[in-house]
Amino acid sequence: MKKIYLLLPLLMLLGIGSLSAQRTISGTVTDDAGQAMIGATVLAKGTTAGKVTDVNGRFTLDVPAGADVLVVSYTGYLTQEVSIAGLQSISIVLQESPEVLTEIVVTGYSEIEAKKLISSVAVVGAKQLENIPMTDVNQLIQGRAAGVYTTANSGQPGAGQPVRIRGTGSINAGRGPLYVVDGIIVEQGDFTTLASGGTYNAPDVLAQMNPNDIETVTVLKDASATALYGSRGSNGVIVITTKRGKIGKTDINVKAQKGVTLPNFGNFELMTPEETWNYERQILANSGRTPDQIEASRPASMLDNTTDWVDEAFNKGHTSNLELQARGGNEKTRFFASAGIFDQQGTQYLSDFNRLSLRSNIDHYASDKLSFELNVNGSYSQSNNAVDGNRFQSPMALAFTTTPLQGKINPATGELYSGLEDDWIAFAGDNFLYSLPRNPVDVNTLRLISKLAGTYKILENLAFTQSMNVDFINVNESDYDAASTNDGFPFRGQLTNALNQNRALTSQSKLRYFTNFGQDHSFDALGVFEYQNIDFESYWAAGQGFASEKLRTLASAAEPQGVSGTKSEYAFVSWLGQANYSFKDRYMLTASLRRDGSSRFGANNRWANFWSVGGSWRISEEVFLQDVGFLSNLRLRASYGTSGNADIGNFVTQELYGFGAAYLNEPGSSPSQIGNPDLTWEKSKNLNVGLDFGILNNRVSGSVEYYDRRSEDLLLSVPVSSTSGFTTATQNVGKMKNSGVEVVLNLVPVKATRPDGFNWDLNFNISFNNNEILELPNGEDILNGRQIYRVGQPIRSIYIQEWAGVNPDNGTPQWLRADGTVTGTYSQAARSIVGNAEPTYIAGLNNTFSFKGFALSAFFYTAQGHQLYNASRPFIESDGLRFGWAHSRAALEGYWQNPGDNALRPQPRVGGNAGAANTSTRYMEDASFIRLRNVQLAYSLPSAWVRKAKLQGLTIYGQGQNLWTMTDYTGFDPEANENGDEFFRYPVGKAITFGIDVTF
Amino acid sequence: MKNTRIIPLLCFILFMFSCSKELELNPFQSLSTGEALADLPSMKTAVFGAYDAIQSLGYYGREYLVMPETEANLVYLSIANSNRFIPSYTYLWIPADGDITDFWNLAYAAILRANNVINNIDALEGDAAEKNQIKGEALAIRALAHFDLVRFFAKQYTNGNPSTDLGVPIVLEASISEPPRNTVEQVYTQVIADLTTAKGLLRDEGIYRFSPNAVEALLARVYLYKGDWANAETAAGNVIGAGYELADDVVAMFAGPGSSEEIFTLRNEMSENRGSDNLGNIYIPAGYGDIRVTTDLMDLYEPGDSRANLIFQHTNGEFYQSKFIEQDGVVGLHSPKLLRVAEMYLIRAEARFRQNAADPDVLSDLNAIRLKRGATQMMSLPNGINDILAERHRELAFEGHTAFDYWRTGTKMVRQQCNTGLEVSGVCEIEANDFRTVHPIPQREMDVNQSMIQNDGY
Repeated sequence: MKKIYLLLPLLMLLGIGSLSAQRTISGTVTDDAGQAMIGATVLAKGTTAGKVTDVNGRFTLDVPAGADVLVVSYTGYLTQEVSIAGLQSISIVLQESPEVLTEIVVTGYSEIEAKKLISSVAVVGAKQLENIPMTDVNQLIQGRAAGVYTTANSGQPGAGQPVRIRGTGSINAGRGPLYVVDGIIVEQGDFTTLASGGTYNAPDVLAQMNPNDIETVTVLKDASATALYGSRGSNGVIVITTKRGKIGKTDINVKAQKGVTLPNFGNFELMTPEETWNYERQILANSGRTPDQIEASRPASMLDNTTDWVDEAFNKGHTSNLELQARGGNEKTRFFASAGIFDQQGTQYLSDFNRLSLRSNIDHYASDKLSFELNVNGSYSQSNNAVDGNRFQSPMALAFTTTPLQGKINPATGELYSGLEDDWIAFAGDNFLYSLPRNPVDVNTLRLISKLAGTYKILENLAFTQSMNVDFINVNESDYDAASTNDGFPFRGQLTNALNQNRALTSQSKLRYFTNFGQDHSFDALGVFEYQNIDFESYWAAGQGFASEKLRTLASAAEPQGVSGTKSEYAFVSWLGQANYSFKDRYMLTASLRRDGSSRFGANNRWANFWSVGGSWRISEEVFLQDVGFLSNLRLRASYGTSGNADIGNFVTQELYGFGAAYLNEPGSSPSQIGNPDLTWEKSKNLNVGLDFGILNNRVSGSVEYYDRRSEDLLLSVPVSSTSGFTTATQNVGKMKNSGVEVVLNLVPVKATRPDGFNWDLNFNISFNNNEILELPNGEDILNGRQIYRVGQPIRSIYIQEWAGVNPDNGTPQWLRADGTVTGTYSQAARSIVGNAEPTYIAGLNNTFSFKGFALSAFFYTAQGHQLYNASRPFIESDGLRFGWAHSRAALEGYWQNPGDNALRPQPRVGGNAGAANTSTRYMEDASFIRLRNVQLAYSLPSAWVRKAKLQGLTIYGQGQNLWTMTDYTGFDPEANENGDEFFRYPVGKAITFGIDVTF
Repeated sequence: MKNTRIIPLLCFILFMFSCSKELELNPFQSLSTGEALADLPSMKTAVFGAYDAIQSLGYYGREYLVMPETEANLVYLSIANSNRFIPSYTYLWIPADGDITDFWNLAYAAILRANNVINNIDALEGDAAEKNQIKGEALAIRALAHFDLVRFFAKQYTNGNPSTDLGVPIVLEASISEPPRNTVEQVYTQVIADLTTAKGLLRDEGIYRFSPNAVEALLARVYLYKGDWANAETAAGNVIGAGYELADDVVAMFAGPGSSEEIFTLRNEMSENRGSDNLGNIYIPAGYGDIRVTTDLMDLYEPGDSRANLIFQHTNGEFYQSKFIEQDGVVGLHSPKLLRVAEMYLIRAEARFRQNAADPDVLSDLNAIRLKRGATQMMSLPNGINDILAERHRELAFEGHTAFDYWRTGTKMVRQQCNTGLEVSGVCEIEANDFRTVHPIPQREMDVNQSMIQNDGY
């Protein structure tokens, strides 16, 4: 009876028509608006006889004798059972399901019906992803999925952003999740060579994927879901499913979008030229300079030629997107195809990203037993990348630090200064307005992800699938420094070209089996063998000495500067199995086991096993709750299991000598790492308990979950005494815990009674995470920059000197000693834990109102209770240490002037005031914020109008990103890097976009 | 149930692809330590790796040559600066300082590279002379690194109690441990022992690698810092007698490496161009130009002294030095002349003066240099040791000696040009026994090494 529910939709289709017919019934299936439903499944209950509706929503079915009930289903709609006793034809109207997106949950290796779900997952559907003008899927799921913390730390179009699922699970190994696209583990991150030296913001290869191709994003959080990914699952898994074809008339959908991005600096403000001039004269006076010396150093003529560098560096950015999608098919073959052109110019001068993407997903059913799936996704992107602060030409540092008293135009020539002139006074000898157009940093990325899978049904309830997947990434970098700019000057011009190739091959063999025992028991199992081999190869060459700035190939370089290359390889071999059992759809049990081997680990510890068990109980199905009318769903879930983290360097287990050194143009060698053949994966033990509920016909629904995730054998770069010649050694030591609570609440405060009536949907999620380090080698603290790893404390504990204000007598800075007394000598100040860079909680709130064709949604996102060290401020609020730089406007106020002043900041002096700008809590700030992440107003034309124009649908919309933020944080943006340090960077702007979406 | 029989069968088939062999992967650009030190050619590569460490930016690439200058009075840090070398000019050292930490790490990295050669080479087969040369170079590098560490992180031998003052840990073999600080005296003893052994092993492979004379010259410097005047005089004299000639044209000498005066020069090739971070670029307007020449130094030169030609006036009216201005046509690139014979004359003069202030050879050593440089003959030393120091300033300015010269001789450092409006606000004078003349042990070493004791005052 229930056995048919266990079949995947795919198998359901294959099973159709295998029994002999007894009688025939025909009919139509429509939605509640009267529209024909194409591709709905119609089954005779208790048999395997079924059909799929055609383009007019019609079906004709041969019904075996004795079957008098039809089961009609369609993804996103409530399944209906209708009696056909004595009928020849029937009209069926399907109602939209309130749980639209959670009917089937894709977990990578398999799919599961939402009601049978045991594990903790968060699902974000296409409706929430579509049409948002962002390049990266990580940006799209921010705030939409409970337990997922991600921050945008660069405004560079195409830049990646880190994702942490249920807290930070590792210290030195990877902390980001695993990405799975259409069942295959794919690559992520940065594959550039030149950017990894920190010279520019590299694009993330995830940005190669067109978000509009995505059907759903499923975030796997607990062990019963992630244990299937074994040694790579402990940081969570993001499973991306792309859109596929469907049976019926071909839909052609055109999307067009245009928008602007406005630079956004939050509460950040610099002094004007006049303020700077006055302030620096004051600094000179404070430092005992005579009026003549002050006049000579800061004459009034400096105000004749000034520049607002921030204004010069940041302008309005533009985004445009044009896309064509087609989906359709018949019972034999279905397809989804898309092509898109995305173009984004960032707010920072000369930074952009454009992408051309193509996708074709084809499913073909060759026979009842044999089917194929072919996915091809190719994309090519070009970006011009913003350079980071260690280059002269970087506007990221220079826009905010170059003195406004420096004019951009050289009055002697009427042209832009290059920065190399004698009368250029700014501290860095470079004018980025001059050098940026001359010194492009281009990155071109080609990515091809292709999968071919064949499924053969060995038996009615046993299917074998073999897939081959290739993920090919080719990144071509070019970095040119013209001879007339400061970066190129010492080399008389230089050019570096790099080519990087990464190839990941995956072979996956999968066997699926299901069976039923009697009426109430059902069982299914999965067995997989997987082999993955990844190899990376890159080489670069650099040349110097260019006769003209127009010559931009290595062939025109006078001298070769260097050639280098690198090659690296790693492999995983895995077996895994999973078994699920359910009784009366009420009690569900699952268990899984995975065995992984990896080349990354030492010979002594190459293999490991990971497992999980879990169960769920649908309490609402129990007889004793049948009479509780308001309760539509109540379910308890629990799981426990292990997973691992293998995200470390490829050869860290080996004691090695590297050959990068050289002397007298001959090779030199040096010990590059301390070996440790015992190294193995980090392990994580994960407990999850969840309660799902639905009340009042699911008008109120949601879930509450508790988790406890313990990471053990942490791969730590343990600092060692540098007298060894090394600074760190990698060891499997340390334990850490992340525990927390996640609450998801979905409300329908006003439910429309008619399809075009007023409807209000409210989705809310909140996640609390508590991180604690449980164990470290010998219990000793490990310093990590301005943070400390200490047993009993969270991983992102800020450990710095405590500021004790200004000495009222002489205007000098003060700090606290370990005993709590005040000192004016920085080196006597003690460090202590003064803050935590991870938020106490994060939350997202989305409200959607719809009426007639209008839909208005507003999405708020918040992170609360964390601190940031604003490392930009010591540069622009330095009390004179950075004399001749730009200064924050805040520095104008509250500085010490006279004995007895209870001042906020020390007296500014040339060279700084007794180390006042050294690291201390003076520059630490609360970074809590509430942000209106997205607001959207859309209007869909009434279907009567649309049909007259021979269209299926037409929607126009306008939306805004990051339009409003509430925070006390004084830097650009409280959404900073996870390390809790803000340093001059490319701030994320406010975007306003308009678009049109037409379906033919 | 025939279904259930198929599952184990398939699992078995899959098992046949046992891919364990596919998991045995090795890197393509590194070798295991055993392979990397397997024979004499690889040992030579390893000792070149040790040279590479001392060549780094944080050591003789720039920082270790510049800090002893910005801590003294021959140069000043302009208020228009790129924020480099501020602690060394203002004496506001903090233990977490990046330059100090880098130097500490690099010196010990050089020591490890040298130790791996010294401790493994004897077991190898091969030409004995080649083996001795490689081992000698490694010993010399180990000695140089220990000496540079001890004079930077400890009280000077001649200005403290070397038998009890804490020096730096002596590291003679590869080990991950937390060694305590040895005394200053112990470090000097080890340095002298290594150099003495090296001298007996080395042959002459040119000025860019350690030779017997280079080691003797370094010994002369070590004896001078130790106050072992007799040995300093002998060692310096041996090197002077080995045929090195004072250069005729000091400006030409600094236009590139390879002059007759050089005993040991750390060669920087064109491919080692660091761009704006080339040593010279911190001193010249075309580079950062943060560090400029004081009137204190200008006043030391008499008219006609050709060494003043290494200083030039810029359009902004300030003075810059051009010792490191260019090499092979690359702006700011320089191969530091770590040991040159002029220093040997100065060492011998000082050593002779300390033994007998009236020794006429003191003046003849000083005049040997002065006459070559176009200065007048010196007839007496009215200010005693200070006259010798002044000659060292004239000759060795910007080459990383100045602050050490003040501290080891117990001389107060006084900046005549101080807080005039051109410089970062600095310290105008500092006593040679001020705690700030000894640098703090890096914070990260204090954090990880339980045996480490911090210097006074930090």
